[in-house]
Amino acid sequence: MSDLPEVLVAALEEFEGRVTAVEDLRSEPAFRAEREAARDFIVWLKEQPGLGFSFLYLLTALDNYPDEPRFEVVYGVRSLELNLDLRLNVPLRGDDAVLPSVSDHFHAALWMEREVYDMFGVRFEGHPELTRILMWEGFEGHPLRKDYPLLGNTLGTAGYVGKGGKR
Amino acid sequence: MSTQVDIVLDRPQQPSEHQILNMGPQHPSTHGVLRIILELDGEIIVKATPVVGYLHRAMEKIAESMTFHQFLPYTDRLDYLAPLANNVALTTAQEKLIGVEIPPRARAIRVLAVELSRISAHLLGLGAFAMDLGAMTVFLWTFRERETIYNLIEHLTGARFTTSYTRVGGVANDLPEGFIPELRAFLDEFPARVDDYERMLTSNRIWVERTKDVGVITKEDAISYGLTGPNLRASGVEWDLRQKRPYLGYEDYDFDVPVGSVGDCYDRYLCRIEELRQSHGILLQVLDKLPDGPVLTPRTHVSLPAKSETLRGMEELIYQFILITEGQDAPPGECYFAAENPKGELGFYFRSKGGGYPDRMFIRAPSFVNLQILERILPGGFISDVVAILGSIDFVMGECDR
Repeated sequence: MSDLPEVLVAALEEFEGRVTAVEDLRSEPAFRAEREAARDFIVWLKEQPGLGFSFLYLLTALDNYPDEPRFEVVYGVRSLELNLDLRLNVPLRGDDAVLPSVSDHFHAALWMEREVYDMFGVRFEGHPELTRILMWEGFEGHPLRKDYPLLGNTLGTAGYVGKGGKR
Repeated sequence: MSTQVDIVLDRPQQPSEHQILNMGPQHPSTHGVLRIILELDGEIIVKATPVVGYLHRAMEKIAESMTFHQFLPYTDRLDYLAPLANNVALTTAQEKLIGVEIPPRARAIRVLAVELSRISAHLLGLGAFAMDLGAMTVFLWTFRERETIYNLIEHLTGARFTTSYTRVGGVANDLPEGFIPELRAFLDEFPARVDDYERMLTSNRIWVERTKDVGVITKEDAISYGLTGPNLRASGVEWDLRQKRPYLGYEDYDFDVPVGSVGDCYDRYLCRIEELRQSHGILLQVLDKLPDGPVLTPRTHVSLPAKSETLRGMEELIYQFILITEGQDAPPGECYFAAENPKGELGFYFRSKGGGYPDRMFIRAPSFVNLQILERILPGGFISDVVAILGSIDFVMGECDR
């Protein structure tokens, strides 16, 4: 953590206990936060003078099925002034995969959160229109979950053949 | 002096009725399968809702059951106007995950490949943009140069579009014989060609009227909506990953990053034109400084041995077998790498649990993120502006829908 700019190190004390720095494979700044602190932390990083993490470059999720906490939502914010990226992982329980939306502060999240909802079924509270984006309306299931079947067709998909048909 | 008379239209006030116009997914100016639902008040757009996903091929799901090399051909189909740049971005990200340094000559060849495909992608973007606004000639001219570039790429990789040229640890083969003179001949005539395009457009009155102050993206919006590439720079943000976070030795090359001031369609056009010239400059420098040496790192657990060696040596055969069946062993952990592609920041985020398959791979597609801005900038403009704005944003649906 020694290569973080001082202003950020001092800033992190503000979130002592709620956000923890984690070891990263390539020694880039990476953090882990509880669900309650995630949105506050990201918005705070953006609005703190001298930091300016106003660019959201990454928002996706991971599935740890069958372990709990099952999901991890991954945020990546960038400060164009400091030329620095931060990554934040937020673990979520499978039966309670809800997170406050950051789309009011980062408009880039409007579609990225919809994609995470579409692919993983993680819900973002406060998103203006949380609908499917890559899959079509009426599609069932969330394809990037690890327990989504890799074989077979479901009703209504292209190439679906009904009872007695060849697959 | 005549007195001013207020003209009152003797017409009962109708409650305004908005009309819904469905544009795409088969509209020629949507460059693929983008659909936009436009809500119109006469000719003015009130609301625009882009609908994406028609080209979704579940690439991220597919990547989870593939070794690193196996996934490479899929990146040819991301931004299919710059397949070489996608190959390089993916492999460089995998190398960051696995922890591989590549030889200097391989890095130079990759830069060469990326800049060549940047020119080709910008030429198509420019030509299609101009054609959508009625300038047919520019389209034909840019495609003439693209043909030369595709012949070069075919010479280099053996394929025109589906290149799959890079390998973890380097590139598939060295520059073929006769490639450098061929490339030099193209580079010699290219600046004059760019001048030709500029003569057709830059001070063309129709072009300026159609693009200036149309689709203005402010600096704040550009950052908030996560724009990258020429679209971000045209809005006055100086941000180019090649310069800010040099990878593949970009710090050794001297180039400028063009930045716009207004953020309208005209600025985006000018930025792309200037990037054509800068890429041309980088290519010349690559050719001048091209180092000698191998094009694939000799580490046995990372890069495939030469085919001729596997036919003679036992050890090479074993390593080839392991690499093909099990893949490169990546350490557990997460890593993100982004490259400055023609369309913007193409990022790959890997989470590995060890072994030859990524547990999750996320593709940060610049076109997907860039397209969100349509909801913001289309309302208030005319229908005819939609075509200009779409052309200036320069997106590819293969990348957007993944």
